[in-house]
Amino acid sequence: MPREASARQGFRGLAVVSLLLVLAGVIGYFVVVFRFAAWLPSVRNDAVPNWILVALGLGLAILAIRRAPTARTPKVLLGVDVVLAVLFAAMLYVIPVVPAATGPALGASAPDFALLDQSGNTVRLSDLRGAPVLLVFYRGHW
Amino acid sequence: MSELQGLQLSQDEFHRRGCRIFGIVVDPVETNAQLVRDARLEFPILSDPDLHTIDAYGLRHRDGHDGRDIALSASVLIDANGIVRWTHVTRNFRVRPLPAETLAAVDALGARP
Repeated sequence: MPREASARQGFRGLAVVSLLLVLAGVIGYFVVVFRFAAWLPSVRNDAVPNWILVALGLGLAILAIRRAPTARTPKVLLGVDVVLAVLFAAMLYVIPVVPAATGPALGASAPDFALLDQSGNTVRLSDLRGAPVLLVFYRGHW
Repeated sequence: MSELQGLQLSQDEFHRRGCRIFGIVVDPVETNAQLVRDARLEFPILSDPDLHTIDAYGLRHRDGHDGRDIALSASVLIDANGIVRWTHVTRNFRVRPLPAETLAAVDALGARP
């Protein structure tokens, strides 16, 4: 029966597309972080487009299950989608969490320092008076 | 790294406001020399291998990477008189201030000489 066949195709297609959307959201995030984060800092920070893709993928998997409640493929794919979404959330919100620190007090004198720059020249904070200075502490280059 | 590149993209905006940028990291001078070359940074990277300055700013992350102590990701804006005016210390190293936020903080310093 052609109608049943097309419905069957429909749910399979939906389920596969749902997985592809979730994968695009997750993999896309890491492509952004490793290649384009400097140009897309808000995506790096908040991952909004990525979560939209993941949510669409989960929605499609649920739609596929509703279309073919007895079929197994959409349920398996929804399970895979959910696992990927949970791993993604862990990579974004659990693994990169660092201990809390307040940093230097606002309104206080910035602690002076004398450090070597990349050419081996000493840079002293107290020599930089007269203009604002932005210090960017970062984790390291590895 | 992406944060430094992002600041480099906004370097002209900082320069226009007379604000100088310095990266501070535990990495040795040679690593920083290579980073400045590779990422074509136009601002200096300062080496703090003993974490003296990182400690002075309260930004040590114990066992932060491979059992090594490193700096927490943080930005500190100091005005022309050497006073700390704005800080951003992240709880999640993926999340950094957007250059626009940092520039807004520089603008908020106002007309201080």
